[in-house]
Amino acid sequence: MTNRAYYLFAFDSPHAAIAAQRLLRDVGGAVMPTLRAITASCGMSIRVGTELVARAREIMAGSAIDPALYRLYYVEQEGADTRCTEVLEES
Amino acid sequence: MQIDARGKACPQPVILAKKALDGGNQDITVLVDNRAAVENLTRLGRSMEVAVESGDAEGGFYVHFTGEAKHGETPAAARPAAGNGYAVFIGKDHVGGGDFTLGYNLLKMAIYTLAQSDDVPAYVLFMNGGVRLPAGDEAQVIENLQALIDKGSQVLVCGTCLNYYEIADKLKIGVASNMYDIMSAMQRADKVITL
Repeated sequence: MTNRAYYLFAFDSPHAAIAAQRLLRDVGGAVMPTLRAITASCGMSIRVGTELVARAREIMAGSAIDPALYRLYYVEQEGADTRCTEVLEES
Repeated sequence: MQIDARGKACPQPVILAKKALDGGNQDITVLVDNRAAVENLTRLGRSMEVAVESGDAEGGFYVHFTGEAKHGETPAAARPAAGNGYAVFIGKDHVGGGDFTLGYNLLKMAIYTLAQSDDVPAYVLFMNGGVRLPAGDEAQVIENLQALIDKGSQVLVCGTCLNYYEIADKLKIGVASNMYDIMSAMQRADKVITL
């Protein structure tokens, strides 16, 4: 299996997730179930490729969606192993 | 012989053609009035191992079969790689009742999850409102269905339903199919999951 890396916006609210997936469609945002490794979530996430995450973060930051309702994770998949690292807000 | 199946609803053209092939005719031209019927007849011919040619004809299209048919084959039957596998039947463009937007996104998530799985369905079957997904503009859905096909799933889409919703020309992934093939897939599958 090949290694894969992507970013995941994990939402606390399905309403926020649905609003975000409309906003992130242009950057290839794909709605997916939140990974089991990430427990604190409504279960709905938006996946974004590594090359477009900067634009996706700009879109989210400029949107009306409360930043408290989601977290961003960097996800690396290597074979059956999945590693999720939360990306903290830059100060 | 010539069969004029123009104006006949799916799956009548396939039934008539199969009857003629089963009867030993080795030179059959079927006239139909829609592309879904052309695709269904083409797959029938391939499954019965006769030469198939199609093109435009007055009032629609023609499909020409030549050669001796292999008898007893189910039309264009889906053949899973191992065992009988399972089928996923998607009869609407959302999961469950309640809010449509939530249900639509749940369905997209379900298809994503299937596409990520190592245990993919032998068949993904779309009928009624479900056909809006493979004929829709949602890139995520099309990509995930392509991933399923790449992993060995067969994606069959009800041609009658595409015609009813007038989106037959918008089908982006999967094969326009008929009740014969879709029922045959469900009958063969070890289990059917309905979303």
